[in-house]
Amino acid sequence: MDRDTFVSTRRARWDALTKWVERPPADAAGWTELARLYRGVCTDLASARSMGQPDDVCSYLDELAGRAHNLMYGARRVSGLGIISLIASEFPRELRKQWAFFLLANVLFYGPFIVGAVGAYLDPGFAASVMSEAGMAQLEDMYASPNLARGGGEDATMAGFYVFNNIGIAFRCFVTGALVGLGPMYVLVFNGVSIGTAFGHLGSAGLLPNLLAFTAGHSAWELTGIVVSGTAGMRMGWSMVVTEGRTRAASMRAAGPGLFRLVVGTFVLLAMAALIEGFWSAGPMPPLGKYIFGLLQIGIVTAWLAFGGRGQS
Amino acid sequence: MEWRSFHKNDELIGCLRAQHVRPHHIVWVQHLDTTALVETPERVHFRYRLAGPGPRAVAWFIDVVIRVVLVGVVIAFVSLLSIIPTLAGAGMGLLLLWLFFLDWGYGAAFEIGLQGRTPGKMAMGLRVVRADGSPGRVPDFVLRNMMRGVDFLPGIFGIGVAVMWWDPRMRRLGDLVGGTVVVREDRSQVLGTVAIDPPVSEEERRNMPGRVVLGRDETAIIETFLRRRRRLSDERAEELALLLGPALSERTGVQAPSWERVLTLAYARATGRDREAD
Repeated sequence: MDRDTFVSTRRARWDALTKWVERPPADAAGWTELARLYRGVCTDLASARSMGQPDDVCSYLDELAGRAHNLMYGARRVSGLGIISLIASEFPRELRKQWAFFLLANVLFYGPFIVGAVGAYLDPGFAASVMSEAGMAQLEDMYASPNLARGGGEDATMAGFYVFNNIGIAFRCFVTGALVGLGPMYVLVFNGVSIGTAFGHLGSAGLLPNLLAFTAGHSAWELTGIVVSGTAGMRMGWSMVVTEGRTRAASMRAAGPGLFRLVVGTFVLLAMAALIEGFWSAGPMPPLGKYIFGLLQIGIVTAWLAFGGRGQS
Repeated sequence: MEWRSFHKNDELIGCLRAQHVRPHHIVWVQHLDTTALVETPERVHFRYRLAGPGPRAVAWFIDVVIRVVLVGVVIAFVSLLSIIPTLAGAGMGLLLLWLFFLDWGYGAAFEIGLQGRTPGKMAMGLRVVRADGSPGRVPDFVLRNMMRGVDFLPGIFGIGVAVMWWDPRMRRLGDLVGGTVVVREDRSQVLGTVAIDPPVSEEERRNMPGRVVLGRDETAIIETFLRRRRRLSDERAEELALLLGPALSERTGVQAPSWERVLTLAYARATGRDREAD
């Protein structure tokens, strides 16, 4: 069949499909019609190829079939149930599967944390080598009383800030895992030392109870969030180094779905932390209440990560 | 020949590598160049053209401009809110949330909502799809957009461009982790029909040699030329015809006042279309 006959006998359905692709159907009848036309165009493409039709016909049909294909098999609807199962069971399961990286991340974070805390508590010079004078003074000033003084509406500002700043840091910690895992290691150690030093320094200044009361509520969520982001980042770096017989690209891709679950977990952990830190931690509740609340949070986070998704395949 | 899944090919290469076979003899490196073949569930293969750094950079820049505008709109809204003192703090929190969302969610949100496109990509005719050509899913879009921060390092996409240069399918790190490729969607048109215009006259027919034989390439070239003829100016058409006309005239003995007519007449006689619709 020559080209002109081929095109002219089929052109009508190509044009019809083009119209649907540019203006996706709104009802079932439209989709049925689109699917019918799409199958027709696929057939035309196959016959154009086998007949050896010229390149411009083939590439036109390629492109039309591609667009229709994308529309028909388009992005899946995100269901609320899917998100809940992702957070409640898929994420904890993934974290337990990556227990070795999670363990390493904990060591890299809490190790320097303890070093910083003990060092700064015993030796004032240690804190000065980690923090600036101004930073130390600001810290002491901030925790001079058991309740942080915040004006009206400042809670919301701070919650927004914690999302912007803390989740931003955690996400950067994760993505720099692409530098063969070095980024998260740096972030974990650096944050471990800084936060530990703050604890040790305030301890030596006798202000530790104020800090503990403030951080009790959100620390379980926040610190775990940082550690999980480091876990995800190091897992990604590992997939670049140890490819298990795949190409490097395929190895990174194979790690992708698991990384996504860990990223979602990081986000949820730190978003919860931001909510609590913004609206609860600085509140008027007496320290004992805050400690009890904090223990409850530790229990929730631990139970979630340890038991979420257990017993499901 | 296995076109079905690039993952499979990747794995195949991995196996070959393990056996110390050079991976460069694998089909897609040779065939795919800047196109990717896709097989649909309908068992049809179609081709995607991969997008290089150029159009992607322009798309990115368009998106940056849009993001700047979006930040501006919310700043204006928040400063309006802050007229009411009790809402000032909430407004500031909202602004910070918005900045966070734009930083980490802009690309993913649009790509999820617009089937793999951001406004910048729409403007440039680009689309993100999975490496096997199927439409991207939510995790793919989220991951590839998060990774942009690393691709950008150490400034202006240094790592991203280096990785694209290394990867046969021009993927950056984000695409590798997300399992995606960026493709160009060409709005190509099927060119017009071959028109012998004006039809061969009685006189021309008499003056032509009785038999003209054209090679397959020559026929294809002249056909393409005649299809495009309506979109060319007369001067440009003559310029193009000059490339083939003299040699063709000398070989076949077809003579005409213009080179364009030489091609047309030679084509008409060779295909027997000099006798139609007179």
